[in-house]
Amino acid sequence: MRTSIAWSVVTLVAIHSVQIVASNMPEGQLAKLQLQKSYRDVTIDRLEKWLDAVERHKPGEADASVGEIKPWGPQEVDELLIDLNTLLVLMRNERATMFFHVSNSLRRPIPVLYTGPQVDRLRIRAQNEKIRNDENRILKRGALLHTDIAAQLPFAARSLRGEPPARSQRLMVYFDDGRRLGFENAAEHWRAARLLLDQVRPKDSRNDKPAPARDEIVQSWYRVTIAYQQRIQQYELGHLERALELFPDDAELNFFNGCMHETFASRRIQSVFHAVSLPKGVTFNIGSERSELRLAEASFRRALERGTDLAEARIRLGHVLGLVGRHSDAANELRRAISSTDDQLLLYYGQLLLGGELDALGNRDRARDAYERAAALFPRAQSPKLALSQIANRAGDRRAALDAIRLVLGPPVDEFDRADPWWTYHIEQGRSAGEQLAKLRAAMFLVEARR
Amino acid sequence: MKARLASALALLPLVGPPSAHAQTATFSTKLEAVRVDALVTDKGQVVRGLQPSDFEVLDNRIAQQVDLVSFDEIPLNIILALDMSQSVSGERLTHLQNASQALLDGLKSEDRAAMLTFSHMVVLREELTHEIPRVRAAIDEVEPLGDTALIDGVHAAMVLESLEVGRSLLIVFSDGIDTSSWLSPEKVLETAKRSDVVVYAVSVRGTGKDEFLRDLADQTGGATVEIESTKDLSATFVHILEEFRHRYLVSFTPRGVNDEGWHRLEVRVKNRRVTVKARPGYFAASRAAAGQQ
Repeated sequence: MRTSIAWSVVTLVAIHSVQIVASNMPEGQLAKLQLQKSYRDVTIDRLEKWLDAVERHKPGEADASVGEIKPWGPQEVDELLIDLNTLLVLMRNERATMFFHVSNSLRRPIPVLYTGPQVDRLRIRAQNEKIRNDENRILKRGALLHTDIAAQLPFAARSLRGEPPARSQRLMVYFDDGRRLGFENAAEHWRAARLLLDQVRPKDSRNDKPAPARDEIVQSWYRVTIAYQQRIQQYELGHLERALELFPDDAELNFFNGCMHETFASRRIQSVFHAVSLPKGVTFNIGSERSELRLAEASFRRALERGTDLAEARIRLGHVLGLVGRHSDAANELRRAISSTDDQLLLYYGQLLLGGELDALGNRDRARDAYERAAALFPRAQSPKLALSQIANRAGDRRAALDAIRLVLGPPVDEFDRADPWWTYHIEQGRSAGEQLAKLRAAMFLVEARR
Repeated sequence: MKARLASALALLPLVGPPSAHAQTATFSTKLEAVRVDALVTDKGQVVRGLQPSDFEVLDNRIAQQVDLVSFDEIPLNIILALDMSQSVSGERLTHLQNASQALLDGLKSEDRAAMLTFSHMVVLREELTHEIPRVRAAIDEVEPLGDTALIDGVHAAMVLESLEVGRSLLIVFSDGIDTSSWLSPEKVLETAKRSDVVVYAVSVRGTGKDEFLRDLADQTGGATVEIESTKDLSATFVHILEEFRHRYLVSFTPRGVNDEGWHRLEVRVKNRRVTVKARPGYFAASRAAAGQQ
């Protein structure tokens, strides 16, 4: 199992309760400023810069477009969406003269005020964009740019700040082996991509209202980006929540939701909260081990109910049931999963976990058999050998306990030669993410303009 | 923990009451003999010069006749189980390496040392050996990487010791919480119940409470040491070795108790208000199984 992994760095997206401010203004006043005419020259410049960056960007590359947009934070993203919405309205109707800003934080749409020259400028740009683009193409390729920025995370450690950036509400908090490394506001790029895709309209619709839930590329985008995030140990509750709002019956998304909560319940994440102090105002929306396991169980069951027989979902369900002490149920799920797959990795997890459950049920001999089956699949993996050692030790056979581990503990110490899939259990649900992301990029880049 | 013959010891047959002096004390050579490593302190100071007659041992609440072996006579097996996860890098690694070397400086020629490291991967760097330069070289070669499989590492270290003779000290160092092990704390505490090793667990203050290390030390009659900084590691390791050398090895042959299963032990010093730290019990196998070991 050759896997290139950033071993320990875990990124959790936290909510920073400090208000987004410019010049120390409260958010309501900022909103009003942003909608004032004089300010719009600045934001229209930024929109045009963004459109050019989107057009120039090559999928998957850390090119000049990425470099230009990467420093953007929540204010820039919010302002972009205001003017982009105006542009899209003008693309649909070049005679439009009234424009509004709609936001979840606003009770009603707020008029966006432009001067005459500003509207002319936007109208010209809209006409130019119509030549090569339609709305969905702009939105999807824009989302692709922000995806590529976000997917290059974690940024180099040198860019991390010791304290949360003042203007960020969604922070990437980096942890390494239980230590807090720093903060970045890069979660904004995932948010930017989500907000852009929220505006996607179905091709066959004459309705002006967005309907992202009817778009296959949007659905794929959520599946792939969530898999990718989990592969690189980047955990953002909001991303999955939005995905499930749009696609509540998607088996894969429910599976990934289960995986995330399963990981949140683990020592790897729970230990972060015990060991690491966070600055005032920074919070995570992560519950106790027990509550996260309940959420994981519910999500895995939903995934399995949606008609797709995901052996991996069943294995992880078995793992979760074991952790809450329901060993008999766990063993049943694991046996069912094992009988439904011939994937070596999944069989290893299935047998290893089954061994644990059988041991917990007092069936020592059958536990030993399961561990030996796991060991046969990955002979140099330490986990089944340690388990066999522990069983032998409890039976009073010290020689067998030592023999079980002697082979795996000695040289070579190359972690690829000693590879134990248990080490990467928490990220293997995203093992195809790299390949899928490449395909998704191609699909989003090649979106054809509707003529 | 099973009774074993210590072939490396100079043994005297039990021909009468134990001798008056600890250095010439005798102990039972029968396979059923049970040895308990005990630290005796009075207001934090090690109490020396105790005789077999000073000790009282209760096995499942039944008083036992005590033999005693002086700690000076028995070679030590020192096992280092060191955290080599990503967080132990830079200055921390240097401190840990220096501390390990300082510990080895305190060994005598008849002592042995072993080294095992754990990140996500448990690696036996050197088995128990008299060739201390090999252990020193292994210490210098380590490189931190990855997660922390503390629980797996502790199990492996205890199993490695399980067939050895001599008195065994396991020093576990970790600067974090386990994030990667397959074995559970409960299972490894079961391993500890069946082991003769005394565990001293060293951790860094502020890295989170680790009940596993505390329970492990309690189960083996050892201790947990929380340090403020890894700069304190050298002094800590040296102190641990020094304290271990000043423990008593209390030996007795169980009488009047059931043979198999868990035996609760109480070790006391008569007529004195002192603190005795020893393992809370031991597992006895059947006599048939004992004969096979």
